[in-house]
Amino acid sequence: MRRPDEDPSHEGVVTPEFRVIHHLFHDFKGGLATVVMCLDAVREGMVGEVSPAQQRWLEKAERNCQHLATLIDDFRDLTRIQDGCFATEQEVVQPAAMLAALSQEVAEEATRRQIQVVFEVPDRMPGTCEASPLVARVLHRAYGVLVDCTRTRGRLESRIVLEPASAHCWLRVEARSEGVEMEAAALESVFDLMDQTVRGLQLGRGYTLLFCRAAARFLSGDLSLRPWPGRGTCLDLRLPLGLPGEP
Amino acid sequence: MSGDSSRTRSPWSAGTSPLEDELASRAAWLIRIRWLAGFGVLAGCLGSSLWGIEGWHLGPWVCLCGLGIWAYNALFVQIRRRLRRRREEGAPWSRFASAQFLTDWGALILLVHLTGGIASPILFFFVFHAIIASILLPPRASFGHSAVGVLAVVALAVLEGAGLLPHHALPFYADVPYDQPLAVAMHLAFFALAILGSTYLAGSVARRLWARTVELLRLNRDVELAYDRTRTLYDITRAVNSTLSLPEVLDTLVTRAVHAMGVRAGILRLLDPESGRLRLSASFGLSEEYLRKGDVDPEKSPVDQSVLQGWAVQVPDIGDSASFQYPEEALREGLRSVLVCPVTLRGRVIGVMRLYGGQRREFTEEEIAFAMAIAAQGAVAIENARAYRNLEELEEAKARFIFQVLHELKSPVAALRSSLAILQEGFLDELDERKQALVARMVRRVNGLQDLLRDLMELGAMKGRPRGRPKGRVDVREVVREVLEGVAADAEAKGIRLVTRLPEEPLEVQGSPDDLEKVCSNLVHNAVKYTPPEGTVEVTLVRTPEGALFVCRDTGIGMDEAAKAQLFREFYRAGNAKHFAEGTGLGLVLVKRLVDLYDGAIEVESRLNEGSTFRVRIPFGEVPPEDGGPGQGPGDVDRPPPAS
Amino acid sequence: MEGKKARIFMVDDDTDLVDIVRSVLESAGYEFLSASSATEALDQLDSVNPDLIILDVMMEDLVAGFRVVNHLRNFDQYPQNRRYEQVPILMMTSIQQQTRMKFSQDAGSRLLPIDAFLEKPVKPRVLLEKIAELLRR
Repeated sequence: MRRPDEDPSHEGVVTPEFRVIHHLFHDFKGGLATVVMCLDAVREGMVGEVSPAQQRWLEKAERNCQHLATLIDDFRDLTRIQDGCFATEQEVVQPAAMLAALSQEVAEEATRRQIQVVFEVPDRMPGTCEASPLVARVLHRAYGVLVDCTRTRGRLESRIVLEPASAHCWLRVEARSEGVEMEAAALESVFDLMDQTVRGLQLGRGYTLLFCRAAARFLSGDLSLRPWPGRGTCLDLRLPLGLPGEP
Repeated sequence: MSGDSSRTRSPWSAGTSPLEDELASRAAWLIRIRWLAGFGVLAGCLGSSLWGIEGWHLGPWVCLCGLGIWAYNALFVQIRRRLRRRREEGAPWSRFASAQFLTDWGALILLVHLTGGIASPILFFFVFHAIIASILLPPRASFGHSAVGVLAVVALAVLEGAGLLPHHALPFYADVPYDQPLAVAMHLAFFALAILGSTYLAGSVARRLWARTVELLRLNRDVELAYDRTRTLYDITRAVNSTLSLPEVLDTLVTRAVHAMGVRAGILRLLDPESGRLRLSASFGLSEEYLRKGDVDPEKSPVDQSVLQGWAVQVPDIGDSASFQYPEEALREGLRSVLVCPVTLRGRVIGVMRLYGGQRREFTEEEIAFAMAIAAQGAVAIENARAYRNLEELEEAKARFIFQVLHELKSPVAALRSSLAILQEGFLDELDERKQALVARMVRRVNGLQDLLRDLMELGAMKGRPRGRPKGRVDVREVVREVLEGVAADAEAKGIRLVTRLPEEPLEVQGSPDDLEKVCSNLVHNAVKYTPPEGTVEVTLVRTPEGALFVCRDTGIGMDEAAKAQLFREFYRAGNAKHFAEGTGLGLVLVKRLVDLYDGAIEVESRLNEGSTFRVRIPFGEVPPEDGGPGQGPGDVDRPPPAS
Repeated sequence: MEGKKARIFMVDDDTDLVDIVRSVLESAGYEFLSASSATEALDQLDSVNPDLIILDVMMEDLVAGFRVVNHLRNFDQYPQNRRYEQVPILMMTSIQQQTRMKFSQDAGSRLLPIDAFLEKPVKPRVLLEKIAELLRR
């Protein structure tokens, strides 16, 4: 199958089925929100004490909810990007804080799975700058996939650099993960929801990387995978950050 | 295919030319006049015998002559009829006319001989004949005939004068002065002059008329032809645009083009923009073996190369053409001539249409233009069909994509569901009542999400399944029974009375048990769901002459008119239903789609707070015969159900 | 308002959510009342006489919540509702993503005259803090 995002002539065709699907996701998220609030209420002891064991399962359930909400958000925006009806606005971000949050999230998950992480960030970063909220989202999703596909006790190395361009600068991620090793062609199948090889499924939960690539390209950046011979997989990601708000 | 194609009459196929029609009608005219002539002879004969002419006893002979004229005229009528039937090869109307004139000359000479030789008053009738001949025949032939007539009269005079033939003079009439040869010669000379003069005069007038007639006929033919072509082109345009399925468009185009051009076979190849090859797309009248040639590489086919430049190319005789690629194969297939037209869309060649004749044939410029026009109309239809197919493919891709995504959501929802189950079952620590109630609420909510996913995936699966009703046989009674068993516990728990009426015999229709189970189960579960405790749900299945009628009646919350109108819309849930029970708003959509797929019907009757009644009719369809009787071909699904 | 329990009126068609919020707010000592549609809410408004309103947006139709806001804040049109001028409105919805509207930015502006906005799901603690903050004003 030809991927819809590769054929511009297919853009902008919003069928009734799609509207129905978007409606569905709203319903679905509404249900999830209620469940999450319910879980929170119980967890926070609003209806009485909760034992530590129960607390653990409540957390587990909440993580599931969050995962579902993420999947739905990504899918909804992916279809919007593909249909050419996605809009994003720039907002003011602090790159340092953004990367720190990312680094912390990766570190937490890595500790749990005993993964050795190398996380290099630029020495100098602008205090604030304009960027699309998609940038942080794509970074989080992409790192989520990287951590997921790194084998237990494996290595995850990543280096983030800032490259000045004419009207903005590129945030460039070069990451390598030990674990899943695939041919270049097979790696490409990760971006085809219909044609994911069995091993490809380990590289990202279904359409997460597909969403990341679509979103990166939407922002005029890109995302690609290549083999790390004998070790695992390399991920290259390029996302635009606006010019620094304060010099 | 034949039923369709026969409607396209070819404006080029051989038929009667208007000229032939004219000649045939003139032959008929001549025959009609001859009946009169015969009648005149008989009447004269009768008159003379009534009157009683002294010294002339040849009345009966003349009478015989008249009958003879009628007799041979009857023969001509037969011949003419036979000639009319031989329209294809072009009947020899001129020769037929000549034969008639020669016979007439014979009859006239005989009459002249019987009525006083060259002094006979009948001699004047030769003038009529000369005139008729010059009208019916081309100039040279009419002069020939007049000459033959004159010579015959001269011969008669000579024979009678020489005493080789008896001379029967009319008693009351001036006799021929055979003793004065000069007078006889003068008589004959003036006779000849009169005959040839009238031939000339009548001929020149007739020739002018004839030229006009021919011109008129030609114009008429052109107009008819133009009309026919417009008509045919219109028919073809309508036919190829009557469908959006690409294979159908291509088939129709080739078939219609073959019939319209009066050729034997045709083949349509579309240009594959990627490989640059001509892909076999549709054909008519060609054997499998011939078609096995498959795709064509234009690089190797000089004919196709120039056609791809936008020119039509014809090979009037494949047998002696150097440019035709595989002449032996074509000749073996019985193909003799070919016209190759480009299929052009907005100046771009998108394919090639070949039309093969079974005989040597040189296509005229008009014919070629006509074939190109057909191809151009086809190109538009092809483009439409392609655009539609692209849309369909896109729809399908999106549906599959959504399906995949829904599938992805399934496992996290299931994981969430099991986390909650562990809490709920109290495996860890007992939950107090308030917590228990909250967890139960969450579980119900998550179950709702699971139902939503399941229903959506089922709807999605509907999109992906092949069109039409599944083959196979299903006993609806059994399906309903199983559904009722499944819902019994729920009904009992709610204190709802479940009344069922099922037929005594199995009730079989065409379809799959899964589909019908979904239909019945959705309706019965809804009925139980939306009926307050102590209510009644009544399920009835009956056999009707058309098929199965499934009725599900409840004393539930019912709905108003506005809700009824929206009932089969995705995600629609009536206001009162939302407060009453959990639901996805997709169950009835699925039911409706399935019933439509089975060519069935669903009706709903409902009153707010009183209850609802759903009636589903499923026609028998093709219930496959049990004893392996006459098999049903695929695509016979639309056949009306057998009466039972 | 000292000594008296603040009365909170929640308008949302998700009965589960209403019950959860009820548990949370009642255990925090508030008086809690609810309605499941905009029409119902406007009908009951005077009898409820709330100290704070929690509003959903999509209920019986896509903009039902906005209709309630209009009734409570458009005093030119509904002068009788001027007495609710001081009653804070907290909008709690999940349609921000759907509509790409910036509720949190617009909240309080003329465009969207509400006092606060929270996107679902809301942490119970956050909800309690927000309500306390709004009632303090």
